[in-house]
Amino acid sequence: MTNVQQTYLKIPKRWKINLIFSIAMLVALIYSFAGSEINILRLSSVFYSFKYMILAYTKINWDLVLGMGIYPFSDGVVYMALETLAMAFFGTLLGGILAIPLGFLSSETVGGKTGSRIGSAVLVLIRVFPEIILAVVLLKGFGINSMTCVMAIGIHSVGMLGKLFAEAIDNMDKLPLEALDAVGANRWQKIRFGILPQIAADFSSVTLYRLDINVRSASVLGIVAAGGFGAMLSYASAPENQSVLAALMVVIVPMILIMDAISGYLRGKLI
Amino acid sequence: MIRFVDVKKTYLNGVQALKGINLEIHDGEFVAIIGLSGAGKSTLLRSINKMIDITEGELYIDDVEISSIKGKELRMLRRSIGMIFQSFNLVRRMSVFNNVISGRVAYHSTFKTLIGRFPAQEKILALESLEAMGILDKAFARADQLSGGQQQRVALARALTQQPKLILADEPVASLDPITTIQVMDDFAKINKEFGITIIANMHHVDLALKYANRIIGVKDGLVVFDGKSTDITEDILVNIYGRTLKHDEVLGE
Ligand SMILES: Nc1ncnc2c1ncn2[C@@H]1O[C@H](COP(=O)(O)OP(=O)(O)OP(=O)(O)O)[C@@H](O)[C@H]1O
Ligand SMILES: [Mg+2]
Repeated sequence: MTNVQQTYLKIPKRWKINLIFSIAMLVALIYSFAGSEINILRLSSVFYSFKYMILAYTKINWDLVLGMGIYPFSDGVVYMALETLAMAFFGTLLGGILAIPLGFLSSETVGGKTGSRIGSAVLVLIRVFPEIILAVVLLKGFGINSMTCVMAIGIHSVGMLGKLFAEAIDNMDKLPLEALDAVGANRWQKIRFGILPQIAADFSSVTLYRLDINVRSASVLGIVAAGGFGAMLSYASAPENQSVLAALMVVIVPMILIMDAISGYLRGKLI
Repeated sequence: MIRFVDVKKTYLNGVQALKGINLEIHDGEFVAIIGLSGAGKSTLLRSINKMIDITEGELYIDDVEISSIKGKELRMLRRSIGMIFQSFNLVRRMSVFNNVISGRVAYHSTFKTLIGRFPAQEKILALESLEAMGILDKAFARADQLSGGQQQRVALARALTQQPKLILADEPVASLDPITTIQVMDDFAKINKEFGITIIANMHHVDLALKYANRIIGVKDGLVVFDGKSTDITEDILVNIYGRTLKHDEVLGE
């Protein structure tokens, strides 16, 4: 055999793996449809409630939305939206601030091998708790109020923010640190003049993205911990309260869309 | 004055990069270190500001033996020595001015530098350094908006702002085009003559070394194999340093 022929035999035969993988996916897909017991009867009931939903949206209770008429402003959906935004904002702020020292510690550049192991372990531990669970746990300490939501959002955000901060630090250009060493800078001066200016934009961008996510979670977190849309959202989850759900949706959907747009715009500016 | 006494450096992986260096470099000299890749030029240069620690021998700067100093004392030593790198080593996302003023951090307390407070005369000094390098108009541009040659001038301005007695340069023009190279080397010459600052530079291009430096140190395999005036360099000496005849284009570095 020539060298070319020998090497030819070593070319990985990916097509077998590809085929097996494709078939497995197909089987899983068919199985999941079969298992979900879709039948005509069920589908028709979905359309039936859909009809009521449409109806509910044609006559929105604007007094309830805006907190006017028989509803005090603090019972209106708009007020709840403002409260939700505030919870998300302060939660993100708390998370962002806590994530800075943890991010530095978890990066190899600043924390070294040991620091990065300890920091990463702490961050993973934080990330394994969903916000809802954190909120339930924190209820004991903070009681049923929006502070519990802020704390739950803040702590949960640290998990993601700290990890992404550490990645930003480890991915940045290390050469300026060499120059600062040569200039006689100490550790803090290197962080101030070598690291912060390089990662400030990344930090802000990641935090804005997290704010965007937190507005969504703050919208539902009130169900367990009060604050925001909480109480009204659990009330609206009953099928007969479609009109309340409609009043919530006309505020929540634009709020999230606008947040998404603002956060995207600001992040674009930062690059 | 810098004095190497039988300096040796063995890296952790066992490579012996310096095998007994004896040198004296006097204030105000413009020294070029030449030699093959891997000869030990960077190791030699970087041992002077202890970016690399030597493993044997003694190294004196102004009659102070530096191989055992550390901590604050080391930072005080380093602030009096400028350093220039092949890739400029600026913070690209920071303004030119902030890059230049960062050359002063070791003169101040941590707190003052953290809030970014520098005395007025030091800010003036930073601007004067930029002016001396001909890029004062770029003071508030972000460093990454500048060309390579301009970035190396920012690095030189940063070094000048340290008010050093000595500037070390590790292949300062290796990533620049030929025309920019001449401009930056002219800046080195100016710094050497007008400011009286000693310059020690590792050079890849022999012709540039001969044109700009007063003294050439040829390094081969961890040892100094030539040390003399640039006007004394002959074809034979180059053959000895590089182990073979240089082709015309290598000498000219084009
Ligand atoms: N950090 C290190 N660890 C181990 N060995 C090293 C290290 N740095 C350099 N060396 C080795 O030491 C020797 C001298 O390296 P040095 O970088 O001083 O050479 P140089 O003359 O500057 O080369 P070049 O022209 O390529 O920059 C080389 O054999 C190199 O492989
Ligand atoms: Mg080198």
